[in-house]
Amino acid sequence: MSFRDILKMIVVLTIVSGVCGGGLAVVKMATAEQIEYQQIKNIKEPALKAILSGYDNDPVSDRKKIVTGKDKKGKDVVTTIFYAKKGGEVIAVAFEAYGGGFEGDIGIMIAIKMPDEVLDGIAATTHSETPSVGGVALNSPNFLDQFKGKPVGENFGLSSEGGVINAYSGATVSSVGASKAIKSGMEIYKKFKSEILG
Amino acid sequence: MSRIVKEFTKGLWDEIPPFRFVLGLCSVLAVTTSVSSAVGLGGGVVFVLIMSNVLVSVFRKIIPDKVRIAVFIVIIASGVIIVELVMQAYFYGLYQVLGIWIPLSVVNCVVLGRAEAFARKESVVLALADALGMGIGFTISLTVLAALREIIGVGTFFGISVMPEWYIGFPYIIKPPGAFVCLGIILGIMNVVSARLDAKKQQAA
Repeated sequence: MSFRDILKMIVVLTIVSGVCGGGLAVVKMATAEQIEYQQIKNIKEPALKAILSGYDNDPVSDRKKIVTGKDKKGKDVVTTIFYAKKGGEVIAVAFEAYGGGFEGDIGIMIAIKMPDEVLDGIAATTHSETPSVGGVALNSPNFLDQFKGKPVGENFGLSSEGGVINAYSGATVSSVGASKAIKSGMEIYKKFKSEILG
Repeated sequence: MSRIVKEFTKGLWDEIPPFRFVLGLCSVLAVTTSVSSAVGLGGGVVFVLIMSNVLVSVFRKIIPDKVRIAVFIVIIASGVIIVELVMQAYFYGLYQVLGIWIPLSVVNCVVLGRAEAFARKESVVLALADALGMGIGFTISLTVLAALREIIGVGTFFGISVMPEWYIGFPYIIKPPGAFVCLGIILGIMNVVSARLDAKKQQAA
């Protein structure tokens, strides 16, 4: 094999890979926004629909990202805020917050009614709790409805710790996880209120 | 011109993949549980086939022989990723149903097989005709197999109920072994029909 042949192989492979890589990058950029929309629509929308009501816009389109902290590696933690509007006025905001449960983090979508700043409703989005124990609690209206109508400044701890939430009996750890998620959500809301509503 | 027609139509009966060559069976057996996923994967494969056949044919004279498979795979993989991204962006439900089978069509023998056996030796127009024929043939095969399984298995076609109300379905057909049984039945029928056609041709001659 001559040197020329070897060189040709290297050049052709490099060019083909480079052009394909470049083309894929373009396609990726062109579809990124639509893919994000689809993912939110299919994964978060069921939770949003469950807790928001009386709006006439598409909360999945009316969303905003704000940086709400840093993780252990120093990367920004981004929270996506969804806005429910009626006649152009924001009537509620919703976002996801996390708290440690029995088996990893529990994700809770929290809706806060505007302008009186009371909880409109909450719904579990992602969790790995035991389906027959914690999973039941996180889908139970009895447990979730306790949060409804409570003002943002309320102590969302369990009643045994002086809070206002009754644990779902038999699923205390998951209840604590949900309560932690809501507490951290309230922290985010208070801290970034001006950004969220701005 | 007649050559173009011939290369196109061979993919529809004489060399219809996967029934004639029994290639690319993995995904064929996996996605034919419903007609909609079969058509979805078929469409993706048509796009990848056209793209790979055309590009391979265009560059057939400059691709060095020793690295041709690597070049083919890079081209095919790019096409598959484009399909995956577009499907994720515009057909999210289908994307979730097909899941791993979209990226796996990179190694679909039909696609690489056409690049290796046909496109690298023939002109662009013929390669395009071949890709169209083979792709449509592949989609038809998937659709027929999926229709058989969906109608017998759960009594629906494209998710629409087609069987009388008393029909409770035959879940075995939807399970993987049922796929083999259906495939075998179709191959058997095709062989019988082909044999009859050949016999007629000989008589005429």
